[in-house]
Amino acid sequence: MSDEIVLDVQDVAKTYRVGFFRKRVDAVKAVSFQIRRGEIFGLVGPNGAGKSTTIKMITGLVRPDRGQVRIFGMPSTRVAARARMGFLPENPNLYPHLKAGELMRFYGGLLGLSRKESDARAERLLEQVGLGHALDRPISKFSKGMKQRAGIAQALLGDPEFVVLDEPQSGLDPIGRREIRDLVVDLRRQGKTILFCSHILPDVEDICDRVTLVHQGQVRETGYIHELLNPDVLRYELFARRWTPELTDTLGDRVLQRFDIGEVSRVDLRGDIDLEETLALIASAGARVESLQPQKQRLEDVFIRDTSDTTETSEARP
Amino acid sequence: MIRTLRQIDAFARNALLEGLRNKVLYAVLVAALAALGAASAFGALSLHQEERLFNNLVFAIGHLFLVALAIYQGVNALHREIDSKTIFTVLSKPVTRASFLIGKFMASVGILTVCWALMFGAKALTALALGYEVGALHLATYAGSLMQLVLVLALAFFFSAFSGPLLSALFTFGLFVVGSLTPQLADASRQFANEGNPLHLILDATLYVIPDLEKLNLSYELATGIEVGWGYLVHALLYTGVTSGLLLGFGYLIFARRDFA
Repeated sequence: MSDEIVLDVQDVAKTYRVGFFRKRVDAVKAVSFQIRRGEIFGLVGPNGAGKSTTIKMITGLVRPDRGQVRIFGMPSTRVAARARMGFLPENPNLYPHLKAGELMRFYGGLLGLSRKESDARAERLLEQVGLGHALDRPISKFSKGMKQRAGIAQALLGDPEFVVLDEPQSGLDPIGRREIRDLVVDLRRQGKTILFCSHILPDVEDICDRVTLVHQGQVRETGYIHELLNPDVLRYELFARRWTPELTDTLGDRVLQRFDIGEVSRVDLRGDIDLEETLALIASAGARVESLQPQKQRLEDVFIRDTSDTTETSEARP
Repeated sequence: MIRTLRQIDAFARNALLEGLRNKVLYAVLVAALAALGAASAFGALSLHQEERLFNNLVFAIGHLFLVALAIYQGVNALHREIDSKTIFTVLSKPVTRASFLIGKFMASVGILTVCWALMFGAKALTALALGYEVGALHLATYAGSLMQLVLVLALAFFFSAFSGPLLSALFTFGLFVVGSLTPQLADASRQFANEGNPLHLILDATLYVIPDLEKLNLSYELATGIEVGWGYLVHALLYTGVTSGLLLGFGYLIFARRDFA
């Protein structure tokens, strides 16, 4: 990763006016962050947090009321900036009357590619996203997952250095999700910089280097994943056989909770216990430990902590 | 420059494919051709005025269908992109909003021209089959019709740059009606002015602002056999080009400031 700033979002704000009485809706109040070259940067937040509006300001679809967005040092409204960027919108709607090959040719034309170059890139990209077999199939006959893949292919058609993916895993099954995750990692290997906006927090945690958490139109936290997460063990999750109520009494407040599932007991132990001593006590009571998993803080925990200070989760969209 | 041309080409091809695969367009065309057939039969019932009635009726019906098509195409070309959110994947590409607007407009002009050619071709073939004359005056009349269609399309684009499809259609249709009544409005204005009624100021202002569609309506010349000179057609073409350009320019000024949320 280099220090070159690919995306610089500086204190942007956006207010929409909705309804007959032009009621003000503050979609974004103050959002700032920077993305460096080669990064996979996560943008997370609950529904209505202002993520999509922020992304639309980045892609030039919405003009900020305040602040500025610069891509490769240029305002995002400049064509030259957008020429180096690829964008997959949330739930992409593509032209249903076109076949996949025609769709890619259309987007190739918008990128200024020659037909030959566009066709060659389209064939390779559709193959890469698993749509190589559907080149001659109309988009209207595509499943939601196939549309998502075609959307990703159009975002990558211009071989962009910076890729913005808004909910790229929306509507995909676990295998599809995994494939998109692998594709994003692969894009980084190719040297691309990625802004990854998703509700699937385990994936964000797994693949992103840094994350910005947005809530109610404002940035709550920005940082490297390892900085945001507490490295300490919060609790241990233990599965054991021959667990007795007496053993629970012996362990006292070390046990947070216990559930018996047939012959197997699931026991949650506090994270700050002396593990060696506790395991010795369990063994001496005749219980057999079958699995022991230390549980650390997840991005989901940070997300819930930072967004649970208010009950307002309404969509702040126009 | 090459990129802009390729973008306009992409928009045009996409719109043409959409038009070719759009059942609504076919339905309108079939209905229009059926109406032309009915008009031809009606002409045959008139007494010694068959050719004149055929020319007038077929032109009027065909032109009105095409105007309806121009309004439909004009108000939907932008609205469909915005409503279906396909505009997100288009304007996030290195496409200026001006290229987008011009590309969609050119594509719509292409579709209208194809429909116009079909209509004119069908009329010409029917006329020849019935033994009527098809000459330069017919071509000039239909060229005037095409120019009027382009202006109606530009009006629809202008309105749909800032309003929804229903309002845009209403505004465009309203201006089509008013723009087709410019001689009558001019007469009314003169009348009011003679009477000292200040209403003539409003009418004068209206006449100054609205596109004069009646100038492009050559159906009277067709009916009465008055020749239309090339100079008039060139003048009409310039008028159409400049007025359409102005309408698209004003539309662009509004469209460039729009948010697509």
